[in-house]
Amino acid sequence: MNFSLTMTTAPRSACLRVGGDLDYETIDELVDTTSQLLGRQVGLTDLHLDFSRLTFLDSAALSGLLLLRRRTSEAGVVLHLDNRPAFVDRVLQVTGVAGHFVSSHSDAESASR
Amino acid sequence: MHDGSPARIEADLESLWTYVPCPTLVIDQAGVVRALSASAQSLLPEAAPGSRLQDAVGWLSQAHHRLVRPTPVPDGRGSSVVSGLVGERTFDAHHAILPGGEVAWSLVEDTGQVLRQAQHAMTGEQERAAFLLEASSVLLASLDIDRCREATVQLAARDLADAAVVVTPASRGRRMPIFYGDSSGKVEQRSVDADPGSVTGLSEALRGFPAVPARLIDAAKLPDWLIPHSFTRPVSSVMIVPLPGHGASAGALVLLRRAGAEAFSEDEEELARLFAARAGAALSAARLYVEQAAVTRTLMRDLLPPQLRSVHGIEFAGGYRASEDYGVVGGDFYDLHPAATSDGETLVVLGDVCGKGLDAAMLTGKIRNTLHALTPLASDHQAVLELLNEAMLSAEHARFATLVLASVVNRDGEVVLRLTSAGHLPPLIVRDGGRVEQAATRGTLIGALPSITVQSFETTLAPGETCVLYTDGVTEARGGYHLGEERLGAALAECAGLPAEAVVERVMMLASEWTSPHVHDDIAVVAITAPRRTHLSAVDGRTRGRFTA
Repeated sequence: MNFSLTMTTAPRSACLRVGGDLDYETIDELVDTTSQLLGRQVGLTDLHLDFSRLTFLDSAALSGLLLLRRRTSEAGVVLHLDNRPAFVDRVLQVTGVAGHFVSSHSDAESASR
Repeated sequence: MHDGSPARIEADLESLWTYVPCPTLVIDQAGVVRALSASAQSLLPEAAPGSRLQDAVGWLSQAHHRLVRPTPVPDGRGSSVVSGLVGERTFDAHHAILPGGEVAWSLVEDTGQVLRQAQHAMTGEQERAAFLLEASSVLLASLDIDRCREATVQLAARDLADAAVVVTPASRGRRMPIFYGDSSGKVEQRSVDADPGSVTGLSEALRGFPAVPARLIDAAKLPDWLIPHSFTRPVSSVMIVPLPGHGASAGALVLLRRAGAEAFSEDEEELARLFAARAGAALSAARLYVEQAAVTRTLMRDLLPPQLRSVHGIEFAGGYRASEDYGVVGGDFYDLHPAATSDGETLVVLGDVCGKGLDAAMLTGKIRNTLHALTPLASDHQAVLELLNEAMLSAEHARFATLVLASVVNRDGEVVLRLTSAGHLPPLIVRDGGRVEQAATRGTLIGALPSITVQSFETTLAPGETCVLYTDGVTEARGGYHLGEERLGAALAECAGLPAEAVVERVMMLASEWTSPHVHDDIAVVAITAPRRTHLSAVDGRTRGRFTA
C-alpha cells in the first residue's frame, strides 16, 4: 500500500493522518515529521495520529510509536492514536502498551480545540 | 661550366627564395649546394651555398648521386620519390633537373607519417581504455577477495609487464599474503614473513603513499620473495604502485620486466596507476564484503536456537524456521535452561525482537545472554523481566522484544507450569481430549518503557497434555487477517495426546501455509509435554526406558 502522511495544525494541537502501511520502511518518516513538529510548535498540547486509513502495522512501526510516545511525553504533549482499526487495538493489547496511548475517536473535535 | 648558372638563379630568383614554402635546395652535379631557400636554411642549418650536401643530409646526398650519375640505373620510375629523416621529422624529396644540369630538391614533410603516428597514438589510447574497461569488469565480477587478487596479477602480467605481484599488508601476525602472476596466466600464492621496508617504495605503497618513480628502484636488489618462481632473473625494471582502498590501503602492485625488455615509460606508469586504482577499489570492496559476511555468519551461528530434548521426565521440542530472506537475521528465538536437579524448575524462553538485520540480531543476543544470567532468579518471573527491561532500555531508540517465560517442573508425573507473557501472545494449552486453552497471562513488552507490569499464570499439565509457545508475528498485523490464531487453535485440538515433537511438526507445517507477503516469515515454536506414559526403568529421566501401555 502507498504510505501517506497529511498534517493539519491548530495553535494547540496537530493531527497527522496516516494512510497505507506503517512499517520498517515508513516509520522513520512519521517519527521525523513528528519530532520536527514538536521542536517547532511551542504551545502544542495534543498530537493526534489518525489511523482510519492505516492498512498495516509492523513491529518496527510499533517501536517507532513507542519512541514517539516517549518524545511527546517529554515535551508535555499528549499523544492520541485515533480511529484505530481493530488490528491495531489487538497489537496494543497483546503487547501491553494500550494504556500508554490516549484514544479519542472524535479527532475532528480535538483538532479544532 | 656551371659558374654562371647559380649566379643567374640567384639574380633571377633571389627575392623569391624567401617565399618558397617547401625547403628547396639546388645541388650541382658534384653534390655541392649552390642555392637554398630560406625554409631549407632553417631546416638544415649546416647547409650553405658552397657546402657539400653530404654533410647536411646523407640520405638526400645518396639519392642525388644516384640521380646524376652518368648512366642512371633505369628503375622504371623517373620521378621516384625518396624519403628520409631530418631531425625527428620525415620528409619526401622531390626533384627537378634544371636546364643547367643542377638538381632542385624540394623537401615535403611526410604527412602520411604524421597521420600514422597520430593513429598509432589513438590506437594506443583505445587499447588502454579497453584494457581498463576489461579490468573493471573482471575485477568487479567477484566479491571473493582471493579471486580479485588473482585477477589483478593475471591482468597486470598479461598487459602491463612480464610478471606482476600483489602484496597485501599482514593482517594478523607478520605473514603477508602474496599473489604472483606471469605471462602464462598461472597464479602462484605464498604467505611470506618478510620486511616490506627492505624494498624501496614497497612499505610506502602498502601504506597508500604515491608510487616511487620506477627509475629509482634498483631491480637487482629485489628480494627473492617478491619474484615469482617462474620468473628468471635478472629483472630489468620494476614498478611499485599502491592499490588504494576505501580508507585503508588494499596492498601494493609490483610489476616486473625481464632483461632485454624496455624500461617502463611514463605512459606505462600512468596506465599502471589507473589500473591499480581500479584493482584497489575492487579488492577493498571484496574485503568489506568478506568482513560483513563473517560478522553475519558469526551472529547467525550464535543465534541458532538449541536442540531440545527431554529434561527430568518432561518432553521439550522446538522448531525454528529462519526467514527466507537470505542474509536477514530473524528476530525470533528460544532457549532452554535445564534445572540442575529433577525437583528444580527448568526455564524455557521464547521471544520475538522487533525490527530486522544486525540491530535485531544484536538485541536478540543481548536478551538471550541477560536471561541466561538471570536464570537463578527465575522463581520470580516479574523480577527477571524487570531486570531485563532495565538492561535493554536505551535513550536513543525504543526497540523492544516480546517474550514468554515458562518455568517447568515435574511433580509426581504432573508437570507444573508457570507462564508469564511480556507483550507476547499467550501460550496455548492442549488438554486431554482436545480442548485448547489460552494461558491467562499478559504483560508489557520489554525494552521500550521505563516500567512494566506482568501477570503470571500457573497450571498443571496432566500426562499427554501439551503447552505450546509460539511466535507468529503478532506485532505485524494487517486488517482482516488474524494470523491463523484460530486455525492454530483448531489444528492443536487435533494434536491432543501427541508427543511434543509431533506437535511442533504440526505447527511448523501450518506455519508454512500462513506465509503471506508482509507477515514476517521466521517462526519459532516450543512444545512442553507431560509424557502420557510413565517410565518403568528410567534412571535419571533423561534416558528413554521401556514404556508401559
